[in-house]
Amino acid sequence: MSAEKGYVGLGEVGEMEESIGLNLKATELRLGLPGSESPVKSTSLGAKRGFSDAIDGKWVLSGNGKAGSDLALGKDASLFSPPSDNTNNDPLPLPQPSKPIPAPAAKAQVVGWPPIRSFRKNSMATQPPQKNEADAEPKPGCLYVKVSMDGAPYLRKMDLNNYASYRDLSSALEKMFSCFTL
Amino acid sequence: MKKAAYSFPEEVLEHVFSFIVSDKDRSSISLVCKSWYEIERWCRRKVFVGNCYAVSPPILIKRFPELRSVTLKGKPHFADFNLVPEGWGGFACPWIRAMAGAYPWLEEIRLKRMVVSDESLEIIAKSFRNFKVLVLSSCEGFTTEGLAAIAANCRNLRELDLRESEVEDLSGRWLSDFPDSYTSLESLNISCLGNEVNLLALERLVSRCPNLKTLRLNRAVPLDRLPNLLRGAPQLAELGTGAYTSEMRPDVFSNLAEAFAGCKQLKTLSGFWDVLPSYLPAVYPICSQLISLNLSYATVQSPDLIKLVSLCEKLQKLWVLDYIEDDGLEVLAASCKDLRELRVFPSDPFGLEPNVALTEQGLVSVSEGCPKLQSVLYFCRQMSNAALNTIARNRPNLTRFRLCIIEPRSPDYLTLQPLDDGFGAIVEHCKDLRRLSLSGLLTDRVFEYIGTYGKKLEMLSVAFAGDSDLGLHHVLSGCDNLRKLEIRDCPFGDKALLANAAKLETMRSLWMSSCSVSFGACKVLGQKMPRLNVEVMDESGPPDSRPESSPVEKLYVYRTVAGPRLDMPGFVWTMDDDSALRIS
Repeated sequence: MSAEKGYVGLGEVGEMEESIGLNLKATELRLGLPGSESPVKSTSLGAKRGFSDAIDGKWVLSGNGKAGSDLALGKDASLFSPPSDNTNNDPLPLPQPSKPIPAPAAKAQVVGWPPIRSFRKNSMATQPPQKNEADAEPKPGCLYVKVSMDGAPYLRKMDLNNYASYRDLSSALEKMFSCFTL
Repeated sequence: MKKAAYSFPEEVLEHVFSFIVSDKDRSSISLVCKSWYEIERWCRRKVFVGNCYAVSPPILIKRFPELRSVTLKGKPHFADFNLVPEGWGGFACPWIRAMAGAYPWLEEIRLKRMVVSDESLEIIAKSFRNFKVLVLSSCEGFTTEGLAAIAANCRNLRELDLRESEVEDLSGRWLSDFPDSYTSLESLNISCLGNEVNLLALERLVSRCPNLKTLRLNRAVPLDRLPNLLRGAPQLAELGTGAYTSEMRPDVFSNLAEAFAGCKQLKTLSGFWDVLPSYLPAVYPICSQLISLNLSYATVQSPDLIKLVSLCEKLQKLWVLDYIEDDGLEVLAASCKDLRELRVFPSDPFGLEPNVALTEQGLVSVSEGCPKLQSVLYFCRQMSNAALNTIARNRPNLTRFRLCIIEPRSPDYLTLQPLDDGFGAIVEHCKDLRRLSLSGLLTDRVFEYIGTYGKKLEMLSVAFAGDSDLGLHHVLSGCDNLRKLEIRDCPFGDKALLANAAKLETMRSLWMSSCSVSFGACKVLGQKMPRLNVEVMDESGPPDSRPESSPVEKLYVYRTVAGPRLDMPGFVWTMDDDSALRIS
């Protein structure tokens, strides 16, 4: 039986095995200036592209494991080029740009992978909020955590969803506990 | 006198049948002859429906008029991971309504992955006078108002278990709706509730129910209220704590330790959200009696985990986060020789880099040290064929093996080869393997192994694996006992599916998403197999608006005697005999 090339843009296993040895970062093709988000164009009909779909327009790949989609992007970069000429598209190995965007705290997420139930994910959500793609599960309405400070007579509850950054969180905590004198 | 030798009074047969409880055996009895079928169906008290769409309420009621216990499952397993869109189905209401009319003496309802409304709960509360057991596992669609109806009306309720359901938590007041005269509670699991319940009502309820054996609290129950609850139920066998943290005070600690020590029958512990490590020693006195420990929400580091686990010499079941690390698993292997089940969950599944020192070695240690280990669920970031081989040879008694290497398509990290041989060793050596989940880099060869050796395999989960239809063909043609097959993101397509169409009637269900099955093939399958429901899911629009060769987004095929279902949302189409598509 001939191998069916999945519409998700997966390569054949043989190609994947080849690519594992490659330093993909050095030959990474980026559309547009470093730090800009390139629009993802798809020529496949209809259905979701699964794994490669999840990559948020940020083409910075970790270079291990995601061989199939790496290859799809590398080989078929034209699939994703905007119609007009992109003069920033440099086929030569690019010098690694210093990232003006903060390095993602988490990898781009595939829906339903790793296979962890929502209840568990929500319970673990006291970790820094991850970047989700739009159709990943929605954030829980409230992300209450109880905060305890040494010396404070009682705990405080706070909704992590209200704070966009560590700085906000930390100043809110300060205010919350400032009334307790040690 | 010859006649007497041939005929057995029905009552005697009925009495004999009452000792046969397994569904399979009951089914066999009913096939012996017409009169046995009749007798059996009148005295069947318990029924399990693995797929609520495989049969309909009228069909069930017509065949089994005197049920006392019904279990129904709705959505496919991958719904747990958000692969099944909202509104897909699995509605409990039609079942509950029908049963309310047909089974006034119904005692037990167990639902899994179904949509349950408050209205349904109200019907349950008012229709069954002797209602005893309500288990809602991974269900959704109801609020605490529905629970209030149950609490207020079910005088004989023994068990209320909401495990992992999504409940709209409007108020904790519902618990107070159990009347003061109500004392028959034996098992309560509210661990999924988001908000605080009325703690005073909870304490009173717990202390007035002398047969309470299982109490699983939710995160919102503060630790300092736990001692009181425990003192009210010293006969508890299973406890799920709430948040396991409080400001560190010696009197709170000693109170807690004393309360735990008073529970001489406590065998199962869970909960442990937000653990403050200094409070863990409060459970040390009872560790030696524990057989089941669920620390999978306990974000504590290895040393604290190791200490705790090393004291649980009778442990049979451990669920834990990967904070336990390889070192901790080595201690587990040395201390807990009775271990039957291990689940290790990832603490940082979406992180780019490993945050803990947990590798394949941990699992190898446990496979070496724990001779009774049967069931494994393991999340990790690297695996090798050698390790899998060792595990397989160490533990041929494995019955459930679910491995999740977090990065899809990860090869053997030592050789960079696919993990075909490793998983092949698992299926070859573990002859009683019933459930298997694959991950990592896998070619069609692993499926050849599975088809060849996986003769007892009942459930297989596959993701990001395989090269071609041959892979799927191996599984469908080789696994004689396969009941459930779920596949995502694999290059499996039409040929294997159509060539093995008849196999699908011997299985409960097949799920395929982000694969290469064409719309045309789905239509053909639906036409060829009238006793299968072939459901195509596509959120981007009707599949017939695209060429027939276009792959479908999601495919769910299941056998049924009830025909195509009528409650499908707009993004689901059934491919049936006349291939008519419902216009949404």
